[in-house]
Amino acid sequence: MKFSVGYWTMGQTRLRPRHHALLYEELVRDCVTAEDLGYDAIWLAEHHFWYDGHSNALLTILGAMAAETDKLKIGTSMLLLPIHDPLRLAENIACVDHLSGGRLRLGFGLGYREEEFDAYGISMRQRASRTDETLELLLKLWRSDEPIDHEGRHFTYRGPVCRPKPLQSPHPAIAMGGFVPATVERAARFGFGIYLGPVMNGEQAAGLLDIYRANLSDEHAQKPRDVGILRDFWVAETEAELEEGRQRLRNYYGETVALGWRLFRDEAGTPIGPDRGRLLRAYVDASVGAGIIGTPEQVTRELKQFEQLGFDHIQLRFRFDSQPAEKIHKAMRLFAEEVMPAFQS
Amino acid sequence: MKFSLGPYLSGATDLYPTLRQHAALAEEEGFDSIWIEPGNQSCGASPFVVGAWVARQTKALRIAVRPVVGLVHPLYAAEDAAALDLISNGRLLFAPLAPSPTQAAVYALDPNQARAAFWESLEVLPRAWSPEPFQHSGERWRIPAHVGGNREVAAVAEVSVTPKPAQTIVPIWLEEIADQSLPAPVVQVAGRSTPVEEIAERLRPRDGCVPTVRALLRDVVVAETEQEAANLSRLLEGSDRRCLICGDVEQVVAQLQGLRDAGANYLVCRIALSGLSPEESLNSLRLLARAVAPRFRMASFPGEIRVHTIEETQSPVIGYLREGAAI
Repeated sequence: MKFSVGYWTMGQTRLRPRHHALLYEELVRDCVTAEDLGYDAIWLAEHHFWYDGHSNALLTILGAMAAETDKLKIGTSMLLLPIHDPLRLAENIACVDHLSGGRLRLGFGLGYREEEFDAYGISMRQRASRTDETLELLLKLWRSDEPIDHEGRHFTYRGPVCRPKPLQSPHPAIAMGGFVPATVERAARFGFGIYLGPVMNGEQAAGLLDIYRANLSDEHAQKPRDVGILRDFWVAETEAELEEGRQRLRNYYGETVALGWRLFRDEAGTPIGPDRGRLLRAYVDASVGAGIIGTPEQVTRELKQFEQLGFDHIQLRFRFDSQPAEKIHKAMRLFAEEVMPAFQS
Repeated sequence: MKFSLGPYLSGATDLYPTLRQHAALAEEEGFDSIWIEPGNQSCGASPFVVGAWVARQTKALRIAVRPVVGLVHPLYAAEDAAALDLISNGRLLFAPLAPSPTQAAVYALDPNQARAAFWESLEVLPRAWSPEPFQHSGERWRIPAHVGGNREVAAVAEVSVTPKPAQTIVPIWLEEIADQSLPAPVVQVAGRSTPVEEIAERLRPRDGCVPTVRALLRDVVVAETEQEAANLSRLLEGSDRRCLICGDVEQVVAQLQGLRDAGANYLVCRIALSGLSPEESLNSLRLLARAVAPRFRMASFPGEIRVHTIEETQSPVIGYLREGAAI
């Protein structure tokens, strides 16, 4: 079982504003701490046009992270594929892969905030078809030394050759992230790994894992892939510290995700259900409930359940409400010293 | 006169160790900035990626990035630039390039469309970095777009790129001559093939330009002897020899004085030239930094002190370099 720090976001809320330059400094400190403590990777999440700042320019930020680390894998979890230009993306990914000495990992998602699509002039209803076309283009651009002509539904290119190619041949490991069957079906079709979202319970995750396995061809099943899941996470030794972690997670989901963002759509962007208020409250409760918050013994038990389901990589999200870096690093250290050894086989 | 290094190609992965070494030396020796561009073979924005990598290995050097702007939506560059400015604690110089006809063709744009998109992007970018939300309605882009199907945001009138850059106003340096007013002042840059007799005209003040900084790009080779410089110049590939600055220390000083007299006061030196080995480039950089640049940095010193200072330090510097001492 591999453990990594992710999905990293700015995590500031209205009540705890921070200077974004300081938050990027803290990202660097998180990277160095994760590397020192033996985590496998650190992952950045993408969102746009939100006062939190999130991390909207993932590959540029990963360039900085590559300079600050030597062994730690660095990745996207998730890069919102349909919002990007495939050629620009292919070149930037290749660059980060070289700067990091082949430590880049890619998690791609579809995105779900209409504001982000609309600012870029993209219909959210096209996110699935844009994702498929972008994936096909990326693979083609990384594999071909010949100029590519492409006239697709969303993109037209005449004769580009992606230079440089990624250092990892033919490309860094890819996983699709998401919450719904279409995500794992797409991942299986391309032979990619999966990272399931943080707000589903173990039963829902197991159901998606079954769909993924059923759709994976024998050929793809032979290749190494990450089968991972994201979890909001807090570990501490006292009940007071644990309660603080729960409250911070509730603050984050209540303010940012439930009140600020527009959720609950199908892949074509059609709103689901008429009773949004009730859905939002239920969403916050479910999200906080899906988080793993406990003492080292408690979180070990919960994580073992995911291991038994067949997950081999868990991204632990420690930063969700502008916690002071010392507290985050204390929790990261406690996990590394008290929990990780229980998973070393 | 201020000195800077570059542009280095963001896609030249085999030169990343050289870039790292040169950036460290440039910072130590008081250079102002290091420039990074994608090169003609690329359409990507990887200057931001490589710029962020350099930024975390330096503390004072400004990071000048030259993304190709106008091929894709300008908000990509707005967000990348803001991130790089924050990562570098406000050291970003934004020096965008207009698409070449080849780059435009890759995106199925004719050159005129691409140029128009470049200028439209430069209208968008300063407003995207400003503290206020904004909206834009132009020839190519509408922000927010109110695309059919995005029903939930039909009433959203403005967009705010977040996070904002660390600098209140991101400096924009342009090699293109501004043929229209822009929402931010720009610093004019003369390209490396600008003949010396055209520098004054190229860098003259225009509406919206900042005339106090007049930047010039040049390929530069400095060698210990005139003969060695001539040998190195024969190795060069792809440099415009009419505008090449090449010679021993005294010859290079004389050539730079000519550029200064023509109006340039900020020199961006491309010293990692195609055809030279890493060692040859590094020697050239050391001579530029330690024997040439000091002559131009002491503008406020009385002339006599400046001359004595140079005469007293030049020989030891050359001797130090000749022994190949590590920096």
